[in-house]
Amino acid sequence: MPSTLTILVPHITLLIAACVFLIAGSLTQKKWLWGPLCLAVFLLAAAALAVNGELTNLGGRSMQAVNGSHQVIHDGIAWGMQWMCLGVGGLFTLMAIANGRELRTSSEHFGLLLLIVAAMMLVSVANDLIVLFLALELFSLTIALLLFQQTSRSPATHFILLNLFVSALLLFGFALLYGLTGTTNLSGMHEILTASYTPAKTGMTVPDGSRLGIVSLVLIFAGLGFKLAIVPFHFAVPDLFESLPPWHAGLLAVASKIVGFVAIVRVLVQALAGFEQTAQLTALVLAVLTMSYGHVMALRHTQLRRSFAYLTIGQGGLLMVAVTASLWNADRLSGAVDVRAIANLPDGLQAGLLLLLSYVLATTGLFSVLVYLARRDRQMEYIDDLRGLVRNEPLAAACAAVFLISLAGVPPFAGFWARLFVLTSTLNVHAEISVAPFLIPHAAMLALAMVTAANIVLGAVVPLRIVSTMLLQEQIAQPRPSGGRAALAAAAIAAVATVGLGIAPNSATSFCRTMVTGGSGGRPADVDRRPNPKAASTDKGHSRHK
Amino acid sequence: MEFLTRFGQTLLDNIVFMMVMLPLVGACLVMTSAGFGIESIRRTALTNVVLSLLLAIAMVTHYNPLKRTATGKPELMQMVSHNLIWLGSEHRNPADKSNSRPAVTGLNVRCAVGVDGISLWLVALSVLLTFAAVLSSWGNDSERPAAFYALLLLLESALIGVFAALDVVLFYVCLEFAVLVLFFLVSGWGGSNRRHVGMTFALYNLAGSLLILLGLIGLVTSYAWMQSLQPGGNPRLVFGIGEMTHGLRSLTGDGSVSQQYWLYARPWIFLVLVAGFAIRIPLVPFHTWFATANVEARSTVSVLLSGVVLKIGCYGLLRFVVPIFPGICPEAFGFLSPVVVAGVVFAAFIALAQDNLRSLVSFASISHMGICVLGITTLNLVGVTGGLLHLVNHGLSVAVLLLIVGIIHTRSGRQSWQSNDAASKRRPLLKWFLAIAVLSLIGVPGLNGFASETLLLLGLFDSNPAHAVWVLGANVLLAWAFLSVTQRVLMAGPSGVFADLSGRQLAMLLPLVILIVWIGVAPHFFVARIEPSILELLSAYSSQ
Repeated sequence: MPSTLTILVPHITLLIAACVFLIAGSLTQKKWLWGPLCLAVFLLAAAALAVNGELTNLGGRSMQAVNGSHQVIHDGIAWGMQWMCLGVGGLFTLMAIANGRELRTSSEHFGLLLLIVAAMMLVSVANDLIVLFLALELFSLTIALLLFQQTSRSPATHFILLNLFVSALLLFGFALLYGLTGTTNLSGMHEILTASYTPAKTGMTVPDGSRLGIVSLVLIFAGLGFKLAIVPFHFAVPDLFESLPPWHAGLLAVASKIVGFVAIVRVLVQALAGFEQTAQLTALVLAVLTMSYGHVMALRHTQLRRSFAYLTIGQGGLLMVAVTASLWNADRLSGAVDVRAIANLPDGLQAGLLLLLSYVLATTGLFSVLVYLARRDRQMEYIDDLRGLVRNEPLAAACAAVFLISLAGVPPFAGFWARLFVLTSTLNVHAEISVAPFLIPHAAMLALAMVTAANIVLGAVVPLRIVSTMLLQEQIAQPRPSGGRAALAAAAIAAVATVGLGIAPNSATSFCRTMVTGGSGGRPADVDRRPNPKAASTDKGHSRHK
Repeated sequence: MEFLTRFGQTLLDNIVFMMVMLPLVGACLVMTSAGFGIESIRRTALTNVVLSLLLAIAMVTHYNPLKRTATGKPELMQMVSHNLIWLGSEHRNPADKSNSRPAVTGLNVRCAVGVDGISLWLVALSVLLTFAAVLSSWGNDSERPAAFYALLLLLESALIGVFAALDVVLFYVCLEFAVLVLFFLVSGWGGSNRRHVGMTFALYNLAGSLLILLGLIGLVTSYAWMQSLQPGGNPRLVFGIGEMTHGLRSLTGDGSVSQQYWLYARPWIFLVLVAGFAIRIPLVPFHTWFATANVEARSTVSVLLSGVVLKIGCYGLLRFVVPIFPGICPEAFGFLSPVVVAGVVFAAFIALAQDNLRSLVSFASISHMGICVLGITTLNLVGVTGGLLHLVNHGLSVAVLLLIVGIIHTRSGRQSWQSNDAASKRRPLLKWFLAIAVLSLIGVPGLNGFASETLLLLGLFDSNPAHAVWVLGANVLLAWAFLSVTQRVLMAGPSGVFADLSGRQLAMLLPLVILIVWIGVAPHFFVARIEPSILELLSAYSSQ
């Protein structure tokens, strides 16, 4: 039975290695050493994680209970998200290997990357407000260091100051939550809130918590929304992306989305009970604002990383749609009222994780193409710099086309399935059952589905325009790219995964289902009690990146 | 020997699946043969489309409209392959010794394909027109040939997939994939304004597809919700088109518990679906994407665009809207058809004002698609059969016309062929074929257009005589437009010395022309394969 310590072995490995990297970097001049060493550390952590997964017996028993009352937890989401974090770390290491000669001190660079991945993995396993907050702070501060290492211009300062302010808000929200429940443990908090505020226990027909809880909810939305770049908290992102080199911008885009989504799922979706209606309304408004704003603003810009920044904001909005759907679904209501849920309708959490997976693959790949394409003296700055790329760099252009089409949500790539799941999951939220004798969709959720559909079209404009620029326009004379082959290899790995998940989506969806249900089926009608071979194979697929 | 027969039978039973997969394989082969020069690219592509054509012939001859199951029920959906699971996992309970089907967990989305009378000729049309398109681009393919042929083959696969899909998600994936491929084809090869036009095309159609997706999701989840009302119901999402259609019909009969829900939900789902398909058809306020794309695209691409892609909208109406909404269709079509009639007449007037044969064909196609929709809105056997047959006929005739326009383009080297670019007197065959295509579009007896329009108008007179008169009027306008342009083309003096059709061009045009005459003279072979399915489709209406 894994204890807190065994669960934390991968994180401790990464943290020790990060310290070694940061200290030993000044002792030796061999800069080529650090990249491969960093990959090796990720492999080691992956091995530790795999052993953990075996210990918790994924697939056979439910993993919900493992270490549930302690500060860290090892459940389906922790398991899957840690694999995702390690995969991202491996791909970014690959991208940085060839880029190393451009960077000032490469050992620090890799050390900070190790720290960031360790922080992301800590967020995934955190089961306690304090651990969660510390992990989030470790993440923010390391990102801040990385940004200052690269650029000291005002966007980074702006971003970091905002970050500090938002951390204070988040801490305040956590404190209020502690005041409300008297515990910092998320699982315990869920039990207490369920006992005090949910309809099953209190006899209210509509769950609604105390005012204090609602204030803390709003504060937490602000704090975690900043990580996801949700609309009123997005201001620093576009400027920052424009001023950063692609490696850093890509890491920021991918890592903060992962961290933000997992933290929101842990706190708002899994721990808070009794505030579903308020939380759902807030999430719905934020989702609509964020995706519309991001996709519309992306139309106006020709600077490559700036328009990607707006696209990632739009994607954050889509993630919020999934959060909205997962906040108050049939599972939440069961026990309260007689609900016969549709057995095989994907729920919001599963859809959100699938969307996150496809987004992470596509964005990582896209930025690794940009890293590869960097010239000795300058980066790819404008969309027009990519004109006719397919003639000069066919492989890079093909990979980029795959990522962009996946981001546009057009089949047959991974992004399409994610959008299909998100759209379907919004319909899993039912109106109040006692009013109608049957399941009818929530009117607000139907409206949300419409807005989401419109946004999917809107979000396809910029990616398709870039694709047609790359593939169909006449090429322009460009010096040879100097980003190095390793970045291209990272792009190719991500492209293979994106295409593979598009053609055989089963592996991705069962990976996400395993995350949500912890290896055994969630609802009685849809139980699959065998060990899940698909999930195991996905797991190997992810460790391959390292 | 017996093994061989069984093997052959298995092949025949999975022929539609093979037809979907073959062009995909072909596209990969074309891309790999890119290094061996243009000749090998052409040969690979040609071999692939010829094989597809053979499969299509086998499919048509193998299709038996009178086939019955062991229990004596008519079996209209044939050559079904549905064993490939796309989403969801199959597992068998070890305790269960009977060899029943293993249970499926998860969404149970399948790569299920098959043809019935509604899709049979549309699938065959896709294959035939891709064959013609590949042949027609020889000699005109110096620009990125490998990518072009590969995209053509991918488009073929997607179109067959759209028509043959028996699963909602597969249908939608093919629909979207076809848009993506056409986006590349339109904006990669064609006129000077092609990139802008390609973008407009893609966005318009993606918007339409998403409406269709919302409608389909609405149908699927509605069915599940209604299942939850049944006593002891275990609601599941069902993605099989046939199963879903039957289920929705059986759950929404008079007096059933779910009727209240269905009365509330169906107008919205109907509206969303019809709006999505209206963009695809295209009905008149939504036609701009087609009019520009068809003129701007390379003629090879516009053959497929107006020959096959336009048929998706009407096919969607027949596959989803008509069978699933028997309670609402007669009334709603009563509101829809005046709008369609107005669009038909409007497009015919616009066509009259065109000087360029390509844009004339575009607007005439929009008008003809409206006429097909009118045939479907009659909801009687003759009218719907006529409408469906007219889809196929329009595809054939327009393809011949556009292929000939393409031939003249290539030879005269002009970007846009004006009507005064006269055809030479030394090209009797080309002129004959042009005349046949134009006459069949006008609806001259003895050619295919007449056969289908007669059926369609008979049905329309039965349901709404005034609309039939309007359609006749629009036909006169179209005839006027076509004849005046063709007259100038055929009767003007020679403007250059061109050779007549080459063997390759003959090979691509002749099958189409033979079919045009065949359907015109003896439509029974075609109608007989359509009618049983339409009867089944309309069975819900006859009982009311």
